[in-house]
Order: sequence, then C-alpha cells, then structure tokens
Amino acid sequence: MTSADEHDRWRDDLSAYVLGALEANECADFERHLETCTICAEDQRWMQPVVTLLSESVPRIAAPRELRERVMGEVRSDVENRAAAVAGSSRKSSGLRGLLMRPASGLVAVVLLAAGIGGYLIADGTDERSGGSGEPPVTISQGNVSATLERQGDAGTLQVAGLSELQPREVYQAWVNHDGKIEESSLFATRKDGTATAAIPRELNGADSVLVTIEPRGGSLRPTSGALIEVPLPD
Amino acid sequence: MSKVERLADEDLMPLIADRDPRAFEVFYDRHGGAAYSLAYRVVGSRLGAEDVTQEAFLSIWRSGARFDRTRGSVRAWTLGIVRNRAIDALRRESGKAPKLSFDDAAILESKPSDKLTDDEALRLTEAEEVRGAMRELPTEQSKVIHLAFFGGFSHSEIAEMLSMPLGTVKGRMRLGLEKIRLQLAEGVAP
Repeated sequence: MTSADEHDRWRDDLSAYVLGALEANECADFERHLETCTICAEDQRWMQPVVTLLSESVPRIAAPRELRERVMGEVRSDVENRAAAVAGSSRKSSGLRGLLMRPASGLVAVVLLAAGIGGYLIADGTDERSGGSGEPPVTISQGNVSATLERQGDAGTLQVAGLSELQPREVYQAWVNHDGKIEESSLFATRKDGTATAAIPRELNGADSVLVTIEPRGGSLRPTSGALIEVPLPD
Repeated sequence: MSKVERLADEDLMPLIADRDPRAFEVFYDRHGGAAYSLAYRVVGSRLGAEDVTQEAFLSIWRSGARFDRTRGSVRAWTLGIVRNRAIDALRRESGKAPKLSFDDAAILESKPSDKLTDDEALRLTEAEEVRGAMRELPTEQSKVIHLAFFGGFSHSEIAEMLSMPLGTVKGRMRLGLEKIRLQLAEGVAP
C-alpha cells in the first residue's frame, strides 16, 4: 500500500489513465502505482464505469446494411476456408473418408455415402434398400421429431421425421457421441414433408448415440444448438 | 427467437471463440450499431466508421474473442476495441485534427420501438442521461474529456493545444468525471 503523500502525486493521473490520455511510458508507471494504491484502486472502481458510459453516450446512427453483409461475408469465408483446410489435411490421412467429410460437399457426401457405403439409394425421398448388417434399427421419438437409425456395420443411415423447415442460412447436422466426445457427421436437408435421410459415415462401433442439431449453413465443428433428437445406440 | 439469440453476451463469447458464425452474427446484431455510432463519433465520416467497425469486429472474430469476463462486460470490452481502432485510424491520418463537431443532419437517432430489446432500450436511456450530464458540465471540463476520449489526444497534447498547465488538464478531467458520476447518481435517486 502506498502512503497518502505518495498517492497525492498520482491522484490526477487516474482520470487521464481511464480516459486513455496518458503516454505509453506514463501509463506503465501509473499501472505500477495502481497495483499498490488502494485509494486509486477505489477511485478507479467508480471512474472506469463513467468512462465506459461515454462510449454509449454518442448519438445512435444506423449502420449500413452492407457493412453487416461485408463483416458476415468475411466470417463465413473464414469458416469455409478453415473447414476446407481441415478437410484437406483429413483427406491426406484418410483418403476417401476425408473427401466425403468436407463440409462444403456435405450434401453430396450424404448421397455418395448412402449409395456407396451404406448400400442405400437416396433420391427424391425414395429409399431402396440393397443391403444391411442385420442389426435391428433403433427408433426414438422426442417431441414432434422421430428418428430411426439403421446400422450397416460401422456406418449407418438415419431416417428423421417431423423436422421443421429451416431458415435459408441453416442446415441440419448429424453428430456421433463417443462417451461425451461429440464428433461431426453429415449435413442434410429435409424433404417437403419434414422427413430426411442422412448417412452416418463415422465409426458407430462403440458410439453412445447419434444426435441432430440445427447449424449454420456449411456446418459446424461442434454443436452450436441443442440436440433436436438423440438416438441411443445399444452396447 | 433461436436458442443462440437467447444467450447472454458472456455465453456467446465461448461459441465465437469456437468459430461459430451464428453466434458471431448475434453478437454483431447486438453491438454493431453502437460500435458504428462510436466509430462515427470519433472518425467523423461514414466511410471511416465502416472501416473501423469492420476491422474491430473481424479482429474479435479472428482473435477468437479473447474476452475476460472478470474485467467487465462484453459491451464495454467491444466498444473499447472499437474506440482504440478509431483513435488509431485518426492518428494514421497525420496532421488531421479530430473533428469535434459532427454533421448532425446525418445522424438518425434511434427511436424506441417494439423491436428494441429491454437491454437496448435501457442503453438508449442511459446514453441520453450521460449526454445530459455532459451538457451540464462546464465547457472547460467537457472539452478536455472530449479531446481525450473522442479525440485520442494525450493529456500533454491537450495542455499544449489549450495552452494550460498539465496539472490543470488532469484536474479538469477528474472534476468532470466526478460531476458526471454525481449527475447520474442523482438521476437514478428516488
């Protein structure tokens, strides 16, 4: 703690400090004083909020809509680039699986996986079964949404009904839960009747459940909204 | 209203740190208007304010929203970043004095409406109270506060501009802030 005499020397620097009006070297000196001066620390507790309110005191003007679009365009571009980079490194290590999991081609991946790996042809809401593992499907309903997961070995096909129509910037995303670790899976859209079919290419062996959430278009690396439905998998 | 829209600012920030564009969109919609208004107040042009606001928000996004909730509100943190960027922009324009009177004709004061959230309505009320408190200040006090906060001048620069001792500048800053605080306290007293 500093003495009152010592504090007096710095007293008026506090107002300049909170207003951002001290030079860089003065600022560092004052911060050292502030660490030990309880009087200044006490004054700062009321002075800082007053200065914060100055930011709010300016007359409000309408920000241009184009500004929002520019900022969000950059953000989405970052997300896509990042997802592409992740998919690229995954592709190098896991070949076809990496290619199929690229979020940008998520819907294509659903079709390819369903047709090629899962043994299903998904077109216009018509599913034709051509093979399976023989494991009984798991069906569950939560609210208006119901889902059936059919296993094909390590992969699976998720049939969902009762889904709402999404906003233009949203997409449904399936996830696989491995002991609390949520791994991204397919992106999918609904048919007009609120049903959808999604391939689950991730390793279902040992998984605890499959979830569905609503995500921003392009998908997410982690769920950003609560699960609409969670289908538990038998041990 | 979606689930993300219902989250408090402090709960949005971890999602933004995880690069969730939807959370960032909600964050922008909450604070973009205040940020743009502050930037405009400092740099004095619409184009400059757009650049500052865009830079500030993208720096928050790209730095992973390094917000520390122990050091204040998300709103104050965000506006602090915007102000710093705006002051930097002013300083980059070397030799150009900050504009201290603004084109009020270009200002579209927000009118309370049904679309305003409770938080936003409260902020607009607070903003009007702070403006009122500033108007009540003696000119010499409001001038040094404006030059420092919105003009980005250091106390020694202000002393030189106004031809007054450094101690006087700092003293007036302190007196002015104390008066604003008292005005606001009286305003909320029953």
